[in-house]
Amino acid sequence: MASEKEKDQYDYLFKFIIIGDAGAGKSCLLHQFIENRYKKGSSHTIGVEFGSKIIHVGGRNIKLQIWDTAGQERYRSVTRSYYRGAAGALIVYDITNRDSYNHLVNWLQDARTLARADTSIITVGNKCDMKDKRAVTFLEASRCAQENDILFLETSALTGEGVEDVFIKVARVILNKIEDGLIDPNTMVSGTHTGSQRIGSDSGGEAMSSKTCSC
Amino acid sequence: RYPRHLASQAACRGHQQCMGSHRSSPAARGGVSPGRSPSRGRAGMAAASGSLWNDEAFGDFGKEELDAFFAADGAAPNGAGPARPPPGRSDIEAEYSRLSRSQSPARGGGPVAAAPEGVASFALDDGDSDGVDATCADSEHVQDCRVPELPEAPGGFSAEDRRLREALAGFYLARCPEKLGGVNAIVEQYRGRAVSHLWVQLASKYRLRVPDVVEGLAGTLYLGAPFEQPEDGGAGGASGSSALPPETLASPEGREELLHAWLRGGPGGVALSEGALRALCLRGLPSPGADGQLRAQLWKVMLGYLPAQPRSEWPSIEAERRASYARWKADLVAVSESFRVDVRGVQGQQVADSLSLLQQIQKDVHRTQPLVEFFQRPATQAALSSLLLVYARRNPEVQYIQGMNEVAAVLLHVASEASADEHAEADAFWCFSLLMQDIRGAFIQAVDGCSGHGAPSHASPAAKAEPGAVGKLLRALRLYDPELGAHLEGAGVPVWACSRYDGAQCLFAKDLPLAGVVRLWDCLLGDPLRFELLSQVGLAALLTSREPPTGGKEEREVYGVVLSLSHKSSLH
Repeated sequence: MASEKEKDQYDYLFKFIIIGDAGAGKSCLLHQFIENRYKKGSSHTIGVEFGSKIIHVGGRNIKLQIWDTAGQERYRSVTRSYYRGAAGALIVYDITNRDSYNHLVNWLQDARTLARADTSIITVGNKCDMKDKRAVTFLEASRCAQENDILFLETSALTGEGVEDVFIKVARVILNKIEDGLIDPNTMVSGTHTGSQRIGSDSGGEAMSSKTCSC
Repeated sequence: RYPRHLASQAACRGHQQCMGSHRSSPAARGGVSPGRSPSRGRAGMAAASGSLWNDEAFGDFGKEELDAFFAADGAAPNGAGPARPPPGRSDIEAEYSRLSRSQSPARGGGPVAAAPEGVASFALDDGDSDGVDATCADSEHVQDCRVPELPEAPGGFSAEDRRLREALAGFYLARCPEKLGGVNAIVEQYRGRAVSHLWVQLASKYRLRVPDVVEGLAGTLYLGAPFEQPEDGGAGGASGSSALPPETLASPEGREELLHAWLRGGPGGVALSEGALRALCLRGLPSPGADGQLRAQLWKVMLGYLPAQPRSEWPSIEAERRASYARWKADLVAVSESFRVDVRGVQGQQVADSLSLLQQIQKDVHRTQPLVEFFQRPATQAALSSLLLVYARRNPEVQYIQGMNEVAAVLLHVASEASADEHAEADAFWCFSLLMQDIRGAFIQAVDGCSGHGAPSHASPAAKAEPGAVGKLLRALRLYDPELGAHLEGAGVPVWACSRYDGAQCLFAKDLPLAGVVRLWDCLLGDPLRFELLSQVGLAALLTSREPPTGGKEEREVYGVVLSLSHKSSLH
């Protein structure tokens, strides 16, 4: 198969959302992941932004469709409508901003009630390059994540440290759920669906429909 | 895939017509220039008389007129009456009509559904001609496609009619010479306020670049038409018009000279009516930096901070308003020597509210216009934070919504080019407050979701008719680009994603380089129907920067394309 064709081929499509307080670095995190560099001169997000990338996990090509939301409380009612169908959720806080960490519980509650019950959630402590301004310790946050049964990683959208790991980690968890039969990848509602490469005869219909509406 | 399928079918038929009966069906060639990229791969524009033009703002703009235009725009070179689709094509029309309706089920009930005939014939002409023109240009029948002569202008044409006629003649000569013959008819149908519709039509149909549309529109506006002076029908309007000969309006130097004479005031100065000022502002002010005073003062007049006349009242009005702002600010904000901003207040809850607001505001102020040095200065950031906080506290139903910082920043930048710092801040505050009167609704709608009733729209946006600005944009999209419109709805793209293209929220402040924003705002602020033009600019940006979909691309990529459009559109 031609290599450029392969580029557009994937086995699964996962929808991710990125949520968290304003200024935590959600957009920079997404930009670092997609473009592999820091987004200088980044401004606040109005409503939502979008990005996608294909990653290779567990022998599968997985396309991530990532929705980056506005952090301001005032936009909450709008951003909430994006939770639907998300297979993965990244809750981002700023390790130098205690408030943004304290609000994790609110974001987690939103994610649990508005997305699916089996949405894989990771909490991301961003700006870990700013060690001298740290207001939230690694230990504290990882314990909190454990108690809430969610994943946890620290990242720096500036240096790129840990950024790719976040997305791969969540994708791997979702992939495991699919392979264990806990998520049916053919239901759009689950936030995943099979890509253009068919993996089984039963996924044919889905692949067809995704092709026919490629306008 | 209906567009390709239909286009090829139509092209095939068109080819036969081209070979067989040139003279009989000039309308079938529609309006596509040989120079237009044949590979654009976009469905033809299915514009028809429809809800867009029957909206509140254009309630007085007759449906018949537009029907007539759509017919005339595809009309024969001699401009003789509306084009009738040649016989034998009704099956395609029917199919198109059926397909286009099935593609966007939510459009039912509107005038579009009520008049499928119009949709079909217009869209077909356009889609049809894609293939036909290329064939004509390459075939031995090319001599039959020769340029018709430009007819004489009728005696009754005003200077403005002639200007529009010239512009259109130039336009069609470059892009679609076979339409030259119909220029007079188009002028007659689009003269006056409707020129903006004309340019949006042309932008969409010929995929013009946004700057070209803005230039074309700015060059052909009617000074005396209600488009520019809806409220100014009396003596003021007349004197404004007579004071501004079209030649002066047409040349940037002439406009600049006139504006400077107006700004100087005094015995040697020129008095201009508000209508005349709007006309000048709409056409653009000298490039930013050349004279900050002029733009700053003119924008104040456009926003209603200062009256156009009499000039003598300006100093007292400015002094009074600046004093009010200073008073309000002193109650709410304390700015230290090092430009640290803190809240002031007596009651605990108020202070807590202010503090929370200030935190939200400062987060955004620190990342407003990050590439412009002016906004990195502590003094600028303190001024921006203060004025936003004062506004937020004085307007509890709006408070602070992300995006307001972008709007205020542009105004502060312009005000700073004219006045000392504290005056600039106060002036920017007033201009911002006045502008927000017009756009606050869009902000509130943006955070409340698109329903406009405060309820988040969890349901599929396609399922219900969206009210307000977003709904208007979607309806417009359905008319101009049903493929994209249907896609956005069918794919369940949250309507919010489109709303920025309505532009009503941030007025493109976040999406363009600052100089481009300032130039665009000359137009927006000068336009008395401010946000009608704005939404058309947004629509034009959306349509002209849309990438042709490519077959191999995943359908969902379109989300990304749509969301990144604003970064691609360049208006400066």
